Amino acid sequence: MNHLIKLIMVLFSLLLLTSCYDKVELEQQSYVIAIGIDKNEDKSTYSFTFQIANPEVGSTLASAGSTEEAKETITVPGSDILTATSIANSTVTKKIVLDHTKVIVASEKLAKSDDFLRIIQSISRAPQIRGNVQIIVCKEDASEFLNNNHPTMEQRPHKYYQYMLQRGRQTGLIPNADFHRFFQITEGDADLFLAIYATTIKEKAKEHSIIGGHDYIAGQIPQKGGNPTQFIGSAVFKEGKMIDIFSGQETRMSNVLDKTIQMNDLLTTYPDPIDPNYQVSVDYVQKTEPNVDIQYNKKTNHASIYVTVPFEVELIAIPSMVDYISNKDNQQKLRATIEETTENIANKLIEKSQKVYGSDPFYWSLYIRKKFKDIPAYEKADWNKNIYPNATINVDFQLKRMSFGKMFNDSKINEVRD
Amino acid sequence: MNPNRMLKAGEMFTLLFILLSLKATDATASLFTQKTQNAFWYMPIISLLVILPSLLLLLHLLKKYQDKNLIELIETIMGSLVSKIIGLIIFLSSFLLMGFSYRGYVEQINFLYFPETPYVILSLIFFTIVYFAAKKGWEVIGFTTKIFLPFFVLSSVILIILILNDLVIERVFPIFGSGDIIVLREGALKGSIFIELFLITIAYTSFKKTDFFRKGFVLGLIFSIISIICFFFIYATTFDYNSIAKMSYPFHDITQYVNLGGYLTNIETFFMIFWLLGSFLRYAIYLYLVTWIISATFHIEHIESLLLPVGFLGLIIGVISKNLIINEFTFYNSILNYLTFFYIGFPILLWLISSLKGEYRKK
Amino acid sequence: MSYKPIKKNTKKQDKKSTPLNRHTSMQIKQLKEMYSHNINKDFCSRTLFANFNKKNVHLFYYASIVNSDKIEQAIVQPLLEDDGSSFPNVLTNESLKEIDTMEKVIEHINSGKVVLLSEGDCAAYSIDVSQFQHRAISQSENESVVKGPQEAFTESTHMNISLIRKQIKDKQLITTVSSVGERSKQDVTIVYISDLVNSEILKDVQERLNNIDTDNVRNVELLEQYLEERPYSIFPSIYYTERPDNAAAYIENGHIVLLMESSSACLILPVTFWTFFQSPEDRYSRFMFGNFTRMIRFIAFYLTTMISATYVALANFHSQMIPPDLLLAITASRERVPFPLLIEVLIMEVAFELIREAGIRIPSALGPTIGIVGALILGQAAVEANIISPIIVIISALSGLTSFAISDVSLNYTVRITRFLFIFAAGFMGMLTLMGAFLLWFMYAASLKSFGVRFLAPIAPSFKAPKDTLFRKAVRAELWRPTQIQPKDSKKK
Repeated sequence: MNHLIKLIMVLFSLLLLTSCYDKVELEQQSYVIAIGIDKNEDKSTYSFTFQIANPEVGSTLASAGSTEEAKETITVPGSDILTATSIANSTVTKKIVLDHTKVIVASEKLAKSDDFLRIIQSISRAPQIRGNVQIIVCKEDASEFLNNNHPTMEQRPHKYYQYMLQRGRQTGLIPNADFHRFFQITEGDADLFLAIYATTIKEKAKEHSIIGGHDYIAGQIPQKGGNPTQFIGSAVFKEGKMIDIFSGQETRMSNVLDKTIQMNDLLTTYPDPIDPNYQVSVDYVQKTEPNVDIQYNKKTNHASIYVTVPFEVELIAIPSMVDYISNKDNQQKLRATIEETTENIANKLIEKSQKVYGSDPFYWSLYIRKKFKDIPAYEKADWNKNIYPNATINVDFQLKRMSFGKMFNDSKINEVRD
Repeated sequence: MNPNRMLKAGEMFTLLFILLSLKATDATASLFTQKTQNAFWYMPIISLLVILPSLLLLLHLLKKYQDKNLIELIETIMGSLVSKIIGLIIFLSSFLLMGFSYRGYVEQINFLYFPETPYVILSLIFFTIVYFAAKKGWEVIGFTTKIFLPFFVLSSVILIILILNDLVIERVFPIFGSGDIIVLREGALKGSIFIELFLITIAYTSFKKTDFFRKGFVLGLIFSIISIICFFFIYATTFDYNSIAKMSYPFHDITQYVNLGGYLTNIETFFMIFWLLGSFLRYAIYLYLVTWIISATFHIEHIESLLLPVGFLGLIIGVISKNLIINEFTFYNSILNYLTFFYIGFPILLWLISSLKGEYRKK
Repeated sequence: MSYKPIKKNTKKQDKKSTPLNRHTSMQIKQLKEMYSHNINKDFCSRTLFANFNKKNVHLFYYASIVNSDKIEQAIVQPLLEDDGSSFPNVLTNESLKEIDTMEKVIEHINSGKVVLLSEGDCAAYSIDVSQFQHRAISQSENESVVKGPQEAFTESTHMNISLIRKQIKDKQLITTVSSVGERSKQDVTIVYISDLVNSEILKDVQERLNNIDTDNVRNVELLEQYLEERPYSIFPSIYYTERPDNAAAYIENGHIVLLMESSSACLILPVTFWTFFQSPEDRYSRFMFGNFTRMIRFIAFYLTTMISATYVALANFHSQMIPPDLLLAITASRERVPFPLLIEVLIMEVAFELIREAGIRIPSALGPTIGIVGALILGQAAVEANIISPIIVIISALSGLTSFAISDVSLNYTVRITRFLFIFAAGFMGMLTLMGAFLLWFMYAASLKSFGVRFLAPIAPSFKAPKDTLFRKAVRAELWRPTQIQPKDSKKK
């Protein structure tokens, strides 16, 4: 019995001792959902913006009658993220926890500077930031972006980012830009990394583009009402430094051509081959990954890349009322247009990447690796500088199947108006 | 056949499996990548091939001299003095490795899950649990590992399924990493990562039949190699060759990366549970084997009473090495390289002497 | 095995025995004094004049534990009327025994027999006319089943044995009796099938029974504590059940059952962890249904031991694991709670245990109050008063409720104590210590033995057995008896 009492005493004393070390009560922590990073005027410091979720808003129990904001956004200077959290504690009452961070927002200014890689690397050292945190580049300052972002429906920030990014990636208008991928591509020293591009500033509306209808970058969509924040397009990074912006359409195309990115289906429009005033809306379905075949000549260090992309489409709307369903010739024309248009977009993008960027956003360096025996040889051949810019690239989109949705035919508009 | 002994092939299999396959989750992978980059995933096969002849020789000898464990076998063949020296070398080497890898495991826990807790406290807690687990005895450790094995396997399968989408097979190319010669040499030098295979032969006689030992040994070896290769392959295809060389614990990087749908995004703690259980058991086995060797070498009856001093010294080694050796990696690396020669050598020596003696007897 | 045989044997030799002699009147006087005849109301002594030998015969018995009709018919009437040459001739009752020592006389009177002392005779006779009062057979209440026999043991060995024999009609079903206790000798009936039972275990049990060194062992509940190897262990090592069908099932597999007169339950040994985990209904239900129940019970087992501890570990140490929605909800509800989370959990767990204990002790007429008090005051009002957060109510209700799925009385305590151990462990260093505690708890279970049988057999160590462990096979596919107890015949036919 004595032993039992002693044991219980020891247990209780242990219990009392445990208030130190890593034990933290839930309510003594502030949960950061988004982190913004800006470059300061002087070289060595950055501005860190923390968007902290307010637990009282949205949880059914306490929310009744609560007039508090769903989130608190504060900006503090700091040389790296962990010191910034301690500075932030001068205004935030509780311990700042980064475990639930969903996105890291960097301003375009920072992304284009050499410091970006430095700061991102220091962030990745903290085990609290996980490999699946998404990188967003915004046009304005990150602090401004986070402060201006006021979603009306999903007030709780973690839900907003979760749904926004999930849906954005499903439509293919933004890339999959997590930390993990950023480091694999940047450290692999080949290929281009695409980060999500977003902004809250509206630009003057761009003319409606003819092809595809998704040739926007964030801020250009003439949207009315709702939250001003737009997520579309991507920031192109070469060797950890931002060099350009892709439109939504270009982002889609790189997603299509990149086998490491999961693509389901996306809605898009093609010019109507019969009646050029109209567009045909289709659901683009890609069931299998693109097939990339690389012929490599060791002596000349020259590569020929043959890409075949099998895809399917489902016609959704034919506003021109042209009969594509029963008329075989029309169908053939439409097929040709779809393939051709898609190939055009792809070729344009590839040309741009070869000439302007000197590297590819499709992660094609993976395929050339097989041709080398070991890494020194592969690194010597240098994908970014030598192989890709000079490679002969041939892209072939193959429309495997065209289906027509649930309707056989549209009602004849002339007959209806009779 | 010994009716009082309850351990069968199943227990042997799981004991060896836990002892070996957990290597896939510790710093072994990053140790391998340092010099060979993305070729590290098949290196364990090379290491195994290097030590395999010696290992088979040892097994053959054990079978020949029935009912003798490793130390008893050495004693019978080499005589008392030499056996004490060899036993001591085996003990010291495995003891040092235990101390170092012990430190590695506690550091993982420290760095990833309890960053604000002092290392010493954590290693004390870890040690306490491992010590009491080992104190329950060899049989109970065997039973426990056997019952826990399905859960370990299940959690690994879940992890593999979750990461499957992020694997990029092309990352294993160029297949020879930093060069075929380097890969072969490094793989061969790291034969001693399978030092546990030699250690566990001390338990040769603790099974119901010695057949069970051999059966479990072979199966356990095959399956652990498969699982190590499998995990290494996952690391090599999830991370590019430049990234993998930078991370110390790729297993935890993967558990941090995977998520279960959009709702459960940080599920590393789930995998950590099984990993922790596995490491507790692994060190309990390790500690028991190391203590067994020293007690067999010097004919000390009660293994259980030696567990505490041996384990505690191992803990001290871990703590001290943290302060003394700045670049633990290179140190660990060179120790492994030297040990490989010893472990390749001594079974051959045993076999030579034993067959010479046999010749004499015939004459 | 850890019993102490030496001490006991010497004591038995010391035992004095006083043979009866011809001075009957002296002995009668002695007896009456011993039983405090003048104040002890239910002790009877009668004197009759026997017809056959024309001598006075003295009867001694306890009026409260004998059947008086039977005395009249079987003893008084023959003695007064019948003729014959000796007592066995006159008293034809089957239980007539000749006894020759004073100690035996006392023992027989105590156990409900009539003892006859004839004047000038140096032997006494005893006739069993005992009629101990007991309950009628009723429904099993603590181990109720939906599908399956409803009878439960009652406080009478005879009836209990009859309940077992009803299910096993086997000539090899043996019921032997050992007596335990010094001052008040109680019979322990050992029931087994002689060509199945492992004779070593049987011998072990008998030795242990003989070595019990105490004045009185009133019932099997106490006997269990005298028999077990590790009195301080958290795990039970003897199965306690009130269901005769359960007992019969184990006897058929070669186990041993112990019965005592004043217990409405039996003890079954040796057993493994799975015995406690299972319910007889798992076998009565069909393969699918039974295994479904088992799975539910396993989940319940996990929840009741682990959920509070897991919650403490996650919330205090691994908040990254909790999905953000839940995390924020918990955080919001905890913002006004004045206690650390660990204390909060303990408050509710202790409160639940209080309700439970009070619920058992409360007179049944007041039963409904406990529900109102428990649910209303502890649940709702405590949340509204910000003493605890609502999620704790869910957690503790879950862990409390699921503990009822562990129907075995003994294992139920194990589970409830374990839960508190785990909560403390989790509060110390989160998952690290929780898993450590779990591992050590588990290894402790694996190291236990019940009468030489490993507690986690037949999984580890593995044995040929029906593998009726966590899940069971179809009844037809069970070919073996559990060989971990090494029955003489291991194949089921």
